[in-house]
Formats: sequence, structure tokens, C-alpha cells
Amino acid sequence: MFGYSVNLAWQGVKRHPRSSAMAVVVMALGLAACMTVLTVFHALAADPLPGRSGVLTTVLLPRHGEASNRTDATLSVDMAQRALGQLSGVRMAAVIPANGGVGLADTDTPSLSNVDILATTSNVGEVFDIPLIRGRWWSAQDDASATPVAVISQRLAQRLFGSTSALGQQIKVGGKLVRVVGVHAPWAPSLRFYAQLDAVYDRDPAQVIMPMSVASGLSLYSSSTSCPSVSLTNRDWHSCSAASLWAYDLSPAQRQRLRAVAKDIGAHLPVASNDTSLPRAVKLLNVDGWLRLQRAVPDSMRAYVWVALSFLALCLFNAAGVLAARFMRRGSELGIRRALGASQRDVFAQHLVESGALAVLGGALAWPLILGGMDLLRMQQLAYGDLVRFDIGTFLALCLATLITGLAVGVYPAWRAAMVPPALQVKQN
Amino acid sequence: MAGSIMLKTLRRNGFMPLLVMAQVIFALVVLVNVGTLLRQQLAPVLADSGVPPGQILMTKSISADLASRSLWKASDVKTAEHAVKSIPGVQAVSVGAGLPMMASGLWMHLLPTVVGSHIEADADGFAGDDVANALGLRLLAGSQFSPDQLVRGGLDKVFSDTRAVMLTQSLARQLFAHQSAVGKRIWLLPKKDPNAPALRVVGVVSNTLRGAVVGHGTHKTYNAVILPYQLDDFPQVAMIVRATPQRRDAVAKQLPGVLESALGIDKPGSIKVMRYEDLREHTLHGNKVAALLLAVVLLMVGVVVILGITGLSGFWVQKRIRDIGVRRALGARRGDILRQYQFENLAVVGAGAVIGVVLGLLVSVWLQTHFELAKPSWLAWGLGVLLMLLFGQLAVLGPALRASRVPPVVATRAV
Repeated sequence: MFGYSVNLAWQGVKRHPRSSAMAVVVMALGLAACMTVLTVFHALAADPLPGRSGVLTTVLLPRHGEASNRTDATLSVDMAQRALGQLSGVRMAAVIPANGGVGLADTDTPSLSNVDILATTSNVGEVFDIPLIRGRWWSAQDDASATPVAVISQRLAQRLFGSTSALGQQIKVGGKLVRVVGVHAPWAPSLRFYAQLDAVYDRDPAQVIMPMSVASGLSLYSSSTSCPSVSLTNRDWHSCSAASLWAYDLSPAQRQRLRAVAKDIGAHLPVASNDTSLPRAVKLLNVDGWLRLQRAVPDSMRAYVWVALSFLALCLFNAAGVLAARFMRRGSELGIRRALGASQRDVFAQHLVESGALAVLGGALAWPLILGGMDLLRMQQLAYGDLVRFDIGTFLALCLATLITGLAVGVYPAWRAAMVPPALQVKQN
Repeated sequence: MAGSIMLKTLRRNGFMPLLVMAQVIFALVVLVNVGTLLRQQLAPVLADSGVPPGQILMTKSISADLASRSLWKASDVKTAEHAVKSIPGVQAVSVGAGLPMMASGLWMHLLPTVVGSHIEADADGFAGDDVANALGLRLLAGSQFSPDQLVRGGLDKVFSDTRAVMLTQSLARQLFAHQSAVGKRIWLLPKKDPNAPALRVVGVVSNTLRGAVVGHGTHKTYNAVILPYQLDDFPQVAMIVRATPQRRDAVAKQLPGVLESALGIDKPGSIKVMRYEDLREHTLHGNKVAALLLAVVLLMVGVVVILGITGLSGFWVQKRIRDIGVRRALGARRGDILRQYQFENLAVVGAGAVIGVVLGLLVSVWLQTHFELAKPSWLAWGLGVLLMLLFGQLAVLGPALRASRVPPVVATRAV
């Protein structure tokens, strides 16, 4: 019976090659536009640290009675250090994204300028799950005594030292010698979430990870909100709010302690002359909440998603119109089929198969269109260009979308066709 | 009378008009939003740059690393500017940070706020010792900066010590409407304390393209704040040079060498000089590609809608061919039939367009409350509705003409 339906559907497609082609092309266009935009959106909104983001917590200190501000999370270096000191036993790190020149020990000019540097504390590997290939992380004592050490990325190690081991070597970071104690594996969260500020999409991972206590006073640059692009050698640096706290896997008791400590810090935040010192509240956020606050997904992207969905709807209604016209044109023919004994179900199935087949063709045609669309996006050199790729997930989503398209386009016209009263149609002839 | 008959036939055969209406609704929403996005992409491409054509040169950011130093000092900057000024044909020079097209590699994003109010505008800062002059901007009101207003130091000083600013005309209008901006007080970023130190507007200059013409805030193309600032202790600088049109290319050739020797850089070719026009072209390449894509989408929507409506109307005419014959036999003229179909189409498309506008506005209001998006203007909606009506009439013309050519004799035939 199904074979017969397919055969009839094929006859139907063959009889109207022009309108079939149009329905296929329109569905393909709609699917392609929608899938391309959704892929980009999905890539942008993706979890930067899969499996870990939910249990990574940062602290915000908004003023009471005011909506959270994007900059509430950043503390000065001294504040962050004080918080860490009071929270021993909690897996927690303070992080300051910075950048500066890095080079070999014996050269005066840094061979690489503008390298991304993460000034942080000893727990960072554990908190962010940064895998080490060789060596070790520095210890809490190193933090306290400002031992000049660093963990560098494998890529940087290769660029600086080639095939020789980087472990134990000295490198010059921001004008000062530090010893490499570890080499970390490529650690590239899909978004540099810890450095997200003010809707700037940034992905470059840190090449050098070093103690915050060492980085203060080096010739590096940090862009914090209170002092834009300040040098860490600057005497005002210690009053700048550049550090954010991140804790991993807090137990309820630890959460309570963190709240208490944060509250204490909030109460002691320096009150600037231009500050109408409202008391501070404490708010804990996970990565997802933090990224939403920082508007990591560009707002324009959401506009594109809406437009693409509307475009798909337009295409679906268009294809549905084409199919409905075609099915209804066959009224008399269907009347004869019904009079000869075909059930309403048979007629319904025949038409659903026909529209389904066209949707499958549309989906197949959409595939190369999506690939082309993604190539176009990558050509634009967007910061997230290489996140946009056609993978198995996209393929499955395309299949699902095609199926839904076929149903959405076909069901109502097929039902209308099945409802044709046999007697009336035959009589009209 | 005739109208009510047409509406009756519409109601009796509801499915086709509903499909047409649904297409119109979504097509309108897509059309208007894509049109708005397209306008946004094209705004900086089509905008007048506001600088005198053929005169401006800009360097890309010059890092202190190039001279084996960590920071540039004010004295380095002075030396460099002096050396450049001595090149024949150079009329003005300024070193700066946060310059047009973000040439200095730094985006100085500000939210200038009128002191003691909630009036603010999204704008970019150009900080430098003589930026307005070097860009060839005309002073429209007030005065230039006096030497004692020049702030010297690292970039943090811009935010803490600056007390005088100049605004572009467009920004001044957004902040102060039709009042004169000169002498008014603003903050660079919104403050909570009404007594926070403010900056005085000393002058208003002619419009020029802001720093970030791509990406965020592209909807306010001319919003720029000019800050009097002597770079000191700064890791990277960029330079604007204004030369006479005849000499600009010669100056462009000499400039890298002059700067390298003045700044003590021993790596030839490390300073890149671009003509303002080329830099703009280069920066806006992405916008042009995006605009092209959006235009293709617009075209596609038009084609899909016209073909869709034509197909459905054609089917509808064919289905009612007997009715048409009967009406012709009863005395309806060709024009009557033609107008009936055109009116039907107008009614259906018009209804769809109205629903589309309402739905589109609802969605856009909802989006506005959650996200920072540019809202399609009323004009855009109006244009969209007109365009949809036009598309509808175009699409129905063929089928309607076919219907009008149905001879009355059809009434006597079985179809």
C-alpha cells in the first residue's frame, strides 16, 4: 500500500514539474536560512566549559535595590586577595585578564607583543579544569611570596623554544624574568568567559598563566572598567577593579561562607567621592548567568534569529499554498478514486507522501546551501567564524526541521484533499 | 454594493485567501526587519565621512615594542609630530588614541551624559593633542582647546582629569536638542552623584565618522567626543596627518621613514600608513558583504511572495471560471472582472499587512524590553505595507487579466 502511495505521489510530482521545483526550492531556501542562523546562534550561546559551567560560581556585589550591573563582579587585587585568604579550603581563584609582551630571557625586545596573559592564583587549574601536559601548577606559598613563575601554553612553548623542553626555562614577561613551571594543553573554552565585559565577543585563550602577585608591577595591560587600559606598573593600579572571583563546586556550607565573606568585602569597598554609598548586596552567579549579564551573545544575533524564523514561516506557507492548489485541482480525479473504493486514509497518505517527498528534496538541497552560507560567514572574519561549522548535530537538526516542514506543509492540504466528497466531484463532471 | 459581493465570495472560499494572508504577514515582518538591518549596515558605508577628501593620512597603531621600549613618552610623541610637520605639504598632525576606524587599536567607548539628567548618547572618544584640526573638522560653535586644558598622562587620566571636550554637531544635538551645547556640562560616563566632576563643552565641530563604525552602536554614525590629551606613558599610538591634496601621496611615501627615525625604530616597514579613504574602505568591507547578503534576502522574499500569490490567484481564477462566465453572461464587463480580482487581492493583502504590522510591532516591543536592538521605524513599516500591496497587485495582474478574458459562453459549458 505504501509503495502504491509512493508511486501515486511520484506521478503527482511528475505531472507538475514547475510547481514541484518551486516548492522544493522555496523550502530549501527557508531551511537553509534558518539552519545557518540557528547554527551561528547555537555556537555563540554554547556552554564555554561543557559540564563545568553550572558549578562554576562568580560573585557580584550590586548595590541594594538596583539591577545587577555588568561591572559588579570586579574587585581590586587587594580585595580579591583578602577574599581568597578568608576562604581557605574553597576551590576558588581570582582572575585578571591582561596582555603584554613576552620573549626569551636573553632578548631586550619581547619577540611577541600583545600576548594574552591570565594573572591569577594557584588554584586556577583546578577551578577552570586547565589540563597540564608537563610540570605542575605553582603553590599557594608562591602566590604569597610572589615567586616569579608561570605556566605557559603548548603553542607558546613551541614558538619560544621549538622542540626543546620549556620546563625550567626563563622567559621574559612584561619586562621581568619568570620561570616556566608548567605547560598547559590547548585550553580554549569556546568563549573567554572569564574576561567577558560589555558585550565584546572574545575568544583568544591565555598563553601565559601566572600568579597575580607577580603580575602586579609588571609592564602589562589590563582593561578593567574602573581604569580603562591601565598599566600594571601604574601606582593607581591597586585601586583598580580588575579581578573577578571564580569558585568551583561549592558545597552549601561553602556557599554560605562565600556569601558572608563577600558581604564583608562589600561593606568595606572603598567609597569614592562620586559614590552615593548604597549598601552592597551579594549575588552568586554561574557561568550561564554571568554570560547573560555580560551580553556575550550579540543582541543583533537575536534579531537575525527572529528574521530567519519569519522567513522560514513565509517559505512554509508559500510551499503549502503551492501544494494545496495542486491537491485541490485534482478534486475530480480524487472523487473517482474515492468512488472506486479508496479510503480517506489512502488519499490522505498519498498526499502526505507527496509533500513529504518534496520536503526531503528541499532538505537535501538545503544542505549545500547551508555549507555555502557558513563559508560566507567565515569569509567575513568574525571572531566566532571557526565555531560555525556543519557537524552531526546540525545535520540531525536539519533532518528534524525537514520532517517538521514536510508535515507542516502537507498535513492540511492532504486533509482537505481527503475530505473531497466522492459523489459531488464525480457529478460535477 | 459590488464590494460586499466580493467579500462574500472571499468568505465562502476562505482557505486560499488565508494562505495569501499568512504569506503577506511573514513577508512583511521579514521585509521590514531585513530592510532595517540593511539600512544599519549601509549607514556607515553611505555616510559622508566629514573629513576633507584627499587630505588625510592615518597610521595604524605604532607599538612601543618596535623601539624596544615598553611605553612611549610625551617627548617621543612631540619629536615625532615635529618631524612630521617638517615634511613639505603637511598641514596638521596629531597623535591620538581611540581614533576613527579604531586605527589606534583602541576603542574608547563612552556614554556622554548631560550632568544631572538621564539624557545620554552612545559615542566614541578621540583623544589627542590636535585631533579636530588634523581631521580637518570645522569649528561650528565655541572655541578650540586652550593649551592649559591639555591633559597629560596615561589613558586613565583621560577619565579622571579631563575637564574640557568638543562634541560633533550630531552628538551635541542629541544631548542638548536645539540649545547651544557650548558651556554645558557633561560626564563621559553616567554617574550617580550629581556633584561628580564634570566636563565643559568648549566647542562643537562638524560631524565625522565615529571610531567603531562596525558592530556595536553603528546606528549613531556621527557620535564622537574629542578630548584634549597629550599621550604619555602609553604602549601604542596612532597618528593622523593632514596634507595638501597635491602632496598627500608624496607625504604618505615619506611618512614611515620619518616616523621610524624620529621614534628610534630600526625595523623598516613596521609603520603602516593608509589614506583615510582606503582605511574606511578596508574597515567597511564586511558591511558591504553583509549588505549584499541582506539585499539578496530582500530580493528572494519579493520573488517568493510574488510567485506564491500568483500561483494561488491563478488556481483560484481557474476554479471559478464558470462563475466568471456566468457573471459575464449576466452583463459584467471585462473591467468589472479585472477590478474584482484586483480588489480582492487588495483586501486580502491589506488585511495581512495590517496583521503583520501589529504582530511585528508586538515582537519588536518585546525584543526592545530585553535586548538593545534598533527598532524599525514607522516609515519602514509604512514602506513595507506599500511594497506588499504593490507586490500583491503585480502578482494578481496575470491571473486577473486571464479571468477578464473568460468569454461569457463558458457559462453554458461544463468545465
